[in-house]
Amino acid sequence: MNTETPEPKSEETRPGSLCEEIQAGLFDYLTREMGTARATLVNAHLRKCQTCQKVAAEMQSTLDLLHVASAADANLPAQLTEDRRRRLFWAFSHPVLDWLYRHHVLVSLAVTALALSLLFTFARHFKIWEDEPEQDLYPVTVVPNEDTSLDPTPSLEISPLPLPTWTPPLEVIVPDASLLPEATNTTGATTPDEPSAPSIQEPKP
Amino acid sequence: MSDSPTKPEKLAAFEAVVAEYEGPLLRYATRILQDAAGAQDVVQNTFLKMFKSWPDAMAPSPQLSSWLYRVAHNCAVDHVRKESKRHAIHLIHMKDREEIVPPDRGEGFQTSEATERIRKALGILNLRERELVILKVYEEKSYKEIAEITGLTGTNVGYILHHAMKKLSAALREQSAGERRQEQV
Repeated sequence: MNTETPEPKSEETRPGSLCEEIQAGLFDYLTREMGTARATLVNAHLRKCQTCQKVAAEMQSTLDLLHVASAADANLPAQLTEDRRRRLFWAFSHPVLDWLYRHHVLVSLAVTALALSLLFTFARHFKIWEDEPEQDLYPVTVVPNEDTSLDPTPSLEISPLPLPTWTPPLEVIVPDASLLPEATNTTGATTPDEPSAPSIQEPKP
Repeated sequence: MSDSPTKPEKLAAFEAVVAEYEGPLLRYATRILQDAAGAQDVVQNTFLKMFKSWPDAMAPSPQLSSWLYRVAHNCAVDHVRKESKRHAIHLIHMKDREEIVPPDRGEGFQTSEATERIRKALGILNLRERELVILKVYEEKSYKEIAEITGLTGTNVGYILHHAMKKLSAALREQSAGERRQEQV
């Protein structure tokens, strides 16, 4: 004979019942987010409903565990690292540089595009890829002057071109002044001992 | 004469704000990301965005606090997305590593048994649920503050938190059952 009495099934556990409504607000109740009037209702229900008590106890134990974990996290880092702090204040002091630093890809692309456009403009201005244009040749008509007498029958004889002749330069030989005679004869005759007057000699080719 | 603060005054105000909020924001980001180095990135970016975008005077205030938490959350979401992409690329490699070496969560991230259980349980929540649980339980924010930070309504916050707590409770119950089974074996 089964002496155990089955746990009375409350009608309130059905969907849409009071228990479901109470359980939906249990977290609000446990974290004191519920208004006083509603909290009083929940409190009264929990006193008499074992099912909701069980759910509330389980939720409370989860909350307790979360608080324990929260306390254990007290040794989490509470400050930014020195590098990040320095970087942060640098960015605050130099906003433009910081912007360039953060958008370095965009800045690099913009600088490259600018450089290319400048190069293109320069090349276009100086036409460095075009060949040099040929000098324009214009036909020239020579009209002889009427006053000039022209030979009507020019000679067809072809005279040979004169060959260039080599003429050696003249060399002036100036004797040493100490060798010159102190006095000369009035007659102009020179003694045999006297040196001859300077003469212009043609150097041998 | 203009009343605008000089550059040294601005720098001093900025330092004061950083000193006030870096600790809470670092804890918040570390708990969301479970990654101390990633949290440092997130908090640094949060402050960088602050001095570019915060319109009012730079002084500790509830409005600034909510705004900073919101920006930190957005930065954390971005970080998670980037990490997810990276993780997807190196999925097989990471899977092998996880079996051998536990993930490095940075210095000072010591875990106790309770923390480890909670960390595993929090892992089953999605980012939004985890964020709300952390804001409510760890940071002890009110529904109103959480609504300001997340952009949700107070009712939505309560609804999401209720379901997140149910999930957490179920995960912890499952963990306990698994431990009991192991002990019996």
